[in-house]
Amino acid sequence: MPDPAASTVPADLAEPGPLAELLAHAARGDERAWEGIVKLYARRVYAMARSRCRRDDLAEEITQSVFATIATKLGSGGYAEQGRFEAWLFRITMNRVRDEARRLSRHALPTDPEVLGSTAAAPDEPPHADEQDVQTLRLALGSLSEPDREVVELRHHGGLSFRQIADALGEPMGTVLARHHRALRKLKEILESPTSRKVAT
Amino acid sequence: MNTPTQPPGPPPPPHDADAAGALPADLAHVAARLDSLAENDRRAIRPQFERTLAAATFRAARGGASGSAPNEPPAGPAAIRFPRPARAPLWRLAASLALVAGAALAGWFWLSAQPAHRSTTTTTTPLAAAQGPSTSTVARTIETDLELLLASVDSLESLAEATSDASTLTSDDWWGDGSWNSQEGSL
Repeated sequence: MPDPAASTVPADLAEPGPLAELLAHAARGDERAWEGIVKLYARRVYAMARSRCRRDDLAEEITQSVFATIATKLGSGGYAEQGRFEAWLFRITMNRVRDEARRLSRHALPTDPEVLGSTAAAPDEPPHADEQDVQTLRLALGSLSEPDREVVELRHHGGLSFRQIADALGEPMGTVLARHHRALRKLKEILESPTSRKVAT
Repeated sequence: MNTPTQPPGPPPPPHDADAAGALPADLAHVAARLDSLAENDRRAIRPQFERTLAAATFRAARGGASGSAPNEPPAGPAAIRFPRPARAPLWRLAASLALVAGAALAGWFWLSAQPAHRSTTTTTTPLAAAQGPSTSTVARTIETDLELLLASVDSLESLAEATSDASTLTSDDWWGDGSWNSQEGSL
């Protein structure tokens, strides 16, 4: 990024504001504009990574990698704002998350829901009811197919609209909607099954 | 599950009203649980992580754009790590090549410094030369000597026969030979 002599972005732009303007200032090397972009999206990117990897350190690493890529592209003029910044950002995130998930799967982590359920909670202390719900939901998410899970995480963790998800995944919007509906239906079945309740308790 | 460590950040934009409204009540309940889970994950971010992330990525991008040395670590808080493509240094490649070339040269010198008879077709080794002729050579010599000896014996027997024959001849045998006469007559 070019070294600006002085910040040209108004003070209120550091808060979530017009995205296009933030991007333009950040591309010109305004650090406060860049901070605004990071503040807008870091938690959502982090949440997507954390949901898949279930590890805070990996989630941080993926988030850093994504924003390093974005900053470099913005600074070098490799991104032209056409109203698709979020789709671009989350496509990069999805790719990093996929890579990390693939890498983790090669290390023979336990995938059995009962094993995961038993290791997730402390043995001496019964988990809180909310924690049980969260754990059950995570296990149910893990049983979804990869495409369905991506749609769910982009929708709920990334906070994208269905149109943005379709743009990020390069698929028709009807397909995305159908996948989301199918995924929710399957999650409901899993959550209501007796096995799931047993794991949760 | 980690307890929330920070107040919630800016919420994501609301979902599409059309799609959310189209969900049946039972699925809307699942969607609400997923939203709650996502909020849990968003709040689990480490304190000050966003600030250090923004600073580190901004400086890293500026460093890359201004052409800083690629091996220089990116500026920013130490907690931020950036993956860097592994690149083998040139000196390591040069050292490997020099090592291989040196080994090849040493081998060549060692081979060329060996005695010439080692590489010829002569079967006599220095150790064998020091110990004398080999068994096969001795056998061949004995065989040759025996042949010469037998030939000599044959010659001596022929000579002995001739001598004994000569001693038994009379003067008539010498002079009354018809062949002699015929020869003489032909003269």
